[in-house]
Amino acid sequence: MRNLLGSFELVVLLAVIQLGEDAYGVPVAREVVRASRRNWSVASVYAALDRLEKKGLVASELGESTPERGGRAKKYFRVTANGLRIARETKRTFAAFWQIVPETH
Amino acid sequence: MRYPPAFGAWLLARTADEALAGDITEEYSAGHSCSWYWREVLLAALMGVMASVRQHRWRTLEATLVAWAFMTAWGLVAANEWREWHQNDQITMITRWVGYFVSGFIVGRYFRFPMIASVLLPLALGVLLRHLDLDLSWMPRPMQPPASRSVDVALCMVLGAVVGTWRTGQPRIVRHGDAIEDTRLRTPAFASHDSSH
Repeated sequence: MRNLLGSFELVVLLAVIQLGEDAYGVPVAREVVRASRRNWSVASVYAALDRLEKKGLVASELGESTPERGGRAKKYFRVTANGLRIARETKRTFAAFWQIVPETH
Repeated sequence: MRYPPAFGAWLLARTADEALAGDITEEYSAGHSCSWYWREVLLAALMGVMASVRQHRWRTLEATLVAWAFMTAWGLVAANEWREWHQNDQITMITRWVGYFVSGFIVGRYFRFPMIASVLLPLALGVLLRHLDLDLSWMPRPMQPPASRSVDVALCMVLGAVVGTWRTGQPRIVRHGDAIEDTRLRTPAFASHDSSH
């Protein structure tokens, strides 16, 4: 159980997995906002990505820069093998509990 | 192309992670509102400052001690040497402003911009102590934290820090035709994270 992620970190990790090679801050933040239907800030998404990177669940590398970004490089994230394992483990744990949650009251 | 507000870009360049600053700028160029931009800038700056404080704990402590040591010395000089001037409330107020401004300037000049946090944190603590109505009369008067209504002294300190860091060879935002460029490649706040890549 100690490897389980918080719900926000899990959503961010799943967004990185879903986006694949295009996973840098802007699309990850958009995906997180779309999936969670909450108006998360880009900064809070970065904070979660930073925590995931420190835990070794994602890795990052700097990419190209564009004029729209003020000449700043993009930081691309990709899920690590450990990150995939934790995501699957979290899914299994949640699925086991999910069956006992009633659909309606 | 839609340019971000100059002060916002300046603040991002000095406090936030390079990639995060780029993402915020890209989203603003894509059409997000000014209020969205400022919310993002302030959050990113706050996170950058906190990351920097965590990364440079001893420098933060050093900056705090230097700033408050100056304030104490200034307060003692003002209270003892210029006593006759302080019959005038306006001069007392200006003396306080100058003291806080120079204190902030010292931190900004010698401890980098994010170290402003080391000044703001004691100020916030002082405001909290005042709010709780604790008796602080045992502290020497120049060292007592400002009252919660003393936003002016906090602003003087922050302004001093901003002016102090203005000409320190730190990165700046430069415009090249249609593009804007941040001349820094790494921000101090996140340098240790990026160095592994």
